[in-house]
This record gives sequence, structure tokens and C-alpha cells, in this order.
Amino acid sequence: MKKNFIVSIVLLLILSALIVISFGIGSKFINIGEIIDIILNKQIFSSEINPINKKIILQIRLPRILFSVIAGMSLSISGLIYQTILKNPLAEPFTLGVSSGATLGAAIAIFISDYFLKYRFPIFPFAFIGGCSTLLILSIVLLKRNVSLFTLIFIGISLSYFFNAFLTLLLSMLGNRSYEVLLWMFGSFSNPPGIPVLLLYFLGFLAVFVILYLSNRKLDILYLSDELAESSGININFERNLYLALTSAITIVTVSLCGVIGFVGLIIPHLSRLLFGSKHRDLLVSSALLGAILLLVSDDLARSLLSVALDYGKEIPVGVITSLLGAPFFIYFLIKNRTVV
Amino acid sequence: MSLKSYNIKDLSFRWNRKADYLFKDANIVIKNTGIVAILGRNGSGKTTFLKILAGLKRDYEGEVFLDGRDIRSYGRLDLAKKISFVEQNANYNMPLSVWDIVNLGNYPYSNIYKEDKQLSRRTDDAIKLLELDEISDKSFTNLSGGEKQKTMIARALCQSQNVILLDEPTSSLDINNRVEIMKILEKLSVEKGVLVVIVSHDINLVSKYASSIIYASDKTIYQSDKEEFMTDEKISSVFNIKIYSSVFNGKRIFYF
Repeated sequence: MKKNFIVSIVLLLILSALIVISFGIGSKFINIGEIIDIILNKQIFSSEINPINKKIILQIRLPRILFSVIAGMSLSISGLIYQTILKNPLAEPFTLGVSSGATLGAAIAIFISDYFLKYRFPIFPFAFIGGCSTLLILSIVLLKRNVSLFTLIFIGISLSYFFNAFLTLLLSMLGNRSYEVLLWMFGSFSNPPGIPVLLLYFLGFLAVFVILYLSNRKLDILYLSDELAESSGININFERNLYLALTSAITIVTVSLCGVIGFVGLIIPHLSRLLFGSKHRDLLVSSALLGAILLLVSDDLARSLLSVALDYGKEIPVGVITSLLGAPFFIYFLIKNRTVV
Repeated sequence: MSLKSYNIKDLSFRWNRKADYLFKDANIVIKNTGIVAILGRNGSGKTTFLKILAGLKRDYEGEVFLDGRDIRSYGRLDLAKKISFVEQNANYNMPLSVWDIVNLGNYPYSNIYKEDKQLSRRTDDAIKLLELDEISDKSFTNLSGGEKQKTMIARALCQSQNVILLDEPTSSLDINNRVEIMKILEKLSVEKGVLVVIVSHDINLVSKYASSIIYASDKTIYQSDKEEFMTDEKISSVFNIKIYSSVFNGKRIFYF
């Protein structure tokens, strides 16, 4: 426990350092002293603060950094809880289809704007409604019948296929103009919402995180069979539905804001288990920190180095980098430590 | 040694309103005087009966009293403090250490504010009781079948040392481990006064260690002491196969 506490502190320090460094990275490089001064609103390290740099940091980079950090935390926590509840190491936040629902919503928004309107519909509400309707369907199924976990996963996968069929239909109708939907599907932090929205997003995540953290013993008991969990004094259906609803909710908000960023929710919980063992008290903290670090670094790369190096003109979708970075790293860890799941 | 008891009145169970009764009008009193074994053929309702005793199945007809109080009137946590359950096949993988799994038994006693030390001591005690000290840091996944079963029993004991219900605790174990598990259960029952109920298919093990037998057969569940019920004719009729027995070194041995 003590060791895990120290490692968590180290991860937190790494994340903090990365956040500061991330402020400097981008099309214009800003040195660290000036960044710290701008954030603290004091002059300690630099003689004068460039007002343009101040604007870049506070209005462009700050929202984006917060965005990627909160999204990373949300997706990895969701993935962790999905894996625990579905008792399936392959589960991720998108397993039950909420992301497909959200994507379809986003595609509908783009489709309608493109076909019928002169102006652009905001994507967020459509994606959000799409995700929520998926969650609603799942809830009706869960509350009506005592479904097994496998049935639940199958229903989720079926829903995904169903929504994807509609999505493909829309994409084919959009033809050349489907590019925008595709780009959205890869996920990106390039259009961060305003600071107030980000604050709400963060508070929402925090509320879910605190509830889960306070329930860490119950989450551990979910490793047992349903009957043993029940005989331990847990209302298993209630707890399961509650945690699924909470994590699905933050997944829907995340996907609606930044698109579908894959792989984070799958590998970060496993990486946490390798480093911290399997108790949820440790896993929740470490997954959140590792998820934030992975998406922050991925986004840094997306918006700077690779774009510059490739003279691409456009940003590389962050999901591409997450998978490119994450997959080999994860495979290496899997081979090195044989007992993962 | 406090007295723990089940008082079961007119207990009937069927899966749904259209189905036939699995068993009907069972009237049984179970006390903590030695191991109580439930015998019967597959599908005779043994496990269902055990789950009713555990409070896991609540859609039965009739009444089940635990220590004089209707089992359905207990709150979840109160019931968990009274009864612990060991399921049939604990051979699945859990990514926790032995100590952590036993510690899960502390759930009904834990709250967010409580000092963990007291609970850790309960875990240590349960580990000691089953002599798991040496493997307490090992991962559950890497244990042998016998060690897994002992870990699950330790978890149950950490949860409650009043009533422990075990569904076929010795199936899939070798003879060595079977005897060890039964000896542990006997010790719990005799020395600690724990009310131990097991479901078992192993007639000889039951004949050796159980002090009273509950039969699930012919759509009912009934009970008597061992001497009266452990006879060739009785066992043969329950399992519907000719079974013989002979006395060897003062012990009755069954064979077919």
C-alpha cells in the first residue's frame, strides 16, 4: 500500500510536469519560466510577459490541456469499471455501444447541416442524445430482465452494429463530404469547449470518481461470483447498474465532446493492474493518472512534433497517436508480465 | 458457545407458478451440533435448499427462521454478518492475493470512516485458522484447487463465524484435500460452535464426518440423525442405485 502511494505521487508529479511542458509545446514554443509566470500571474522567472504568449497559453492551450487530461481520466476510469463489472478483460468504454450511438448522433448532425441547412449544427447535443438513447435502451433491458453479463455484452455489440449500419448509410449518402464525420470518429482535442464547460465536465467526472472511490470495497467484491457478492451483503443488481450508468454517462459526455478515442479505456486499466495490483482503491487513482498522461502526451504529439515534422498542415487525429504509441508499449508489457488478467 | 439454529416450516419451492414443486412441505430444525450434510441426487433441490438457507433465494413458500427471526426480515448486511456462503466451484481466477480475498469478508463490517486495523486483525485470524499464513501473499490465480477452496472458506469465516454454508466443498479435490477440508469444518463446528451445513455427493466422507443428515429426495426434504439414516436401504433408495456397505474398523464404508 505504501509503495502504491509513493508511485501514485510520482505519477501525479509526472502529470504535473507534463502539463507545464505541454503549455510550451505547439506551433509557437514558449519557455517554462514564462509559462509558470503566466499561470501564477506573477513575474518570478521572466522579466516581462509577452501578451501574445499569455493569450496563447490561457485561451488556446489551457482549455486544450484540461480537455485532454479530463478525457483521459474519464475514458480510463470507464474502461476500468466496465472491465470489472462485465468481468471481461476485453471490455472498454465503448463495448456496450454508447460510443456508436454518439457517433451516429454526430453523423446525423453533420448530415442534416450538410443537406438541409446553410449553417452548421453543433455536434455535441446530437452526439449526446445519441449516446443517451443507447444508454436508455440498455437500462430498459437491464431493469426489465435479469440478463447475464454475456447477454448484456451481446446486446451492446448488437446495438453497435445496428448504429454502425445507420452510420455507414449516412456516410455513403454524404459521399465526399463524409470526411468530417470520419475525422470526428478518430477523436480530436482541437476544438476544446470553453472553460466553464470544461469545469462542469471536470466536476461531473470528479463526482463519478468520488462515488467510485468510496465504493472501492464493493468494486473489489465484484471480482467474486454474483452469489458470493450477494451473500457478502451487496445488492449486486443495484450496484452494477449504478456503476455502469455513472461510467457510461462520463463516456457519453467525453465522446460527444472529443469523438471516439480508442484504446485508452482498454489498455490503461491493464497497465494500472500491472503496476498496482488489482484493488480498486489503487486502480482508480492510477488509471485516472495514467489515462491523463497518455492522452496529454498523445495530444502534445498530435498538435506539434508530428504535424511539424510531416509538414502535414493538418493535425494528426489524437486517436491515431494513442494507438500508435499505446499498442507496442502494451504488447511489450503483456509479453514481459505474463499474468495480466 | 452460543446456540445457532434454523427453524424451517412448511418450506416449498418451485421455479415458477406453472412448474412442479422441486420440494414440498419441508419441516427441519438445524442446530450447531456437528456438521450437517445434505445428500441427494442431482436436481433434487439440494443447492436450491442451501441457497434458501443462505438468504440468496427468497421466492420460496413457507417460513425459514434463523435464530428465531424470519430470514427475509434481516437487512442485507445483518444477514451477511450471520451467514457466509462458499459456492460450488471456486476454480475461477481472481487477480487478488489470498489475503485480499479473505479480507473481502470484512465488507459487512467496514465503513468509510472506520480504522482498518481492526478489520485487518479479523482477516489475519481467518488466515491463521485455515493455516494459510505461508501463501497469504500469493495470487489466487496461481493456487492449487485445495488452496483455492481453503481461501474461499477463510473468506467466509472472516465474514461470519455463526453459520457457514458450503455447496460441495470437496468436489474436484483429491482425497488428501477432501479430508483436510472436512477436518477443518469439523474443527469449526466442534470447537468454535459454527453451524456448518454442506451439500455433498461423497457418501463416505459424509458418513465419517457429518453428525446429521438432510436428504433431498422424492420431492421433499427431511432429516434425521446419522445412525437412523445412513443405511444401505436408505442410501440406495435416495440415489436409486443399489449400494452396499460394510463395517470396517468400526466405520461404515459404502460401495457400489
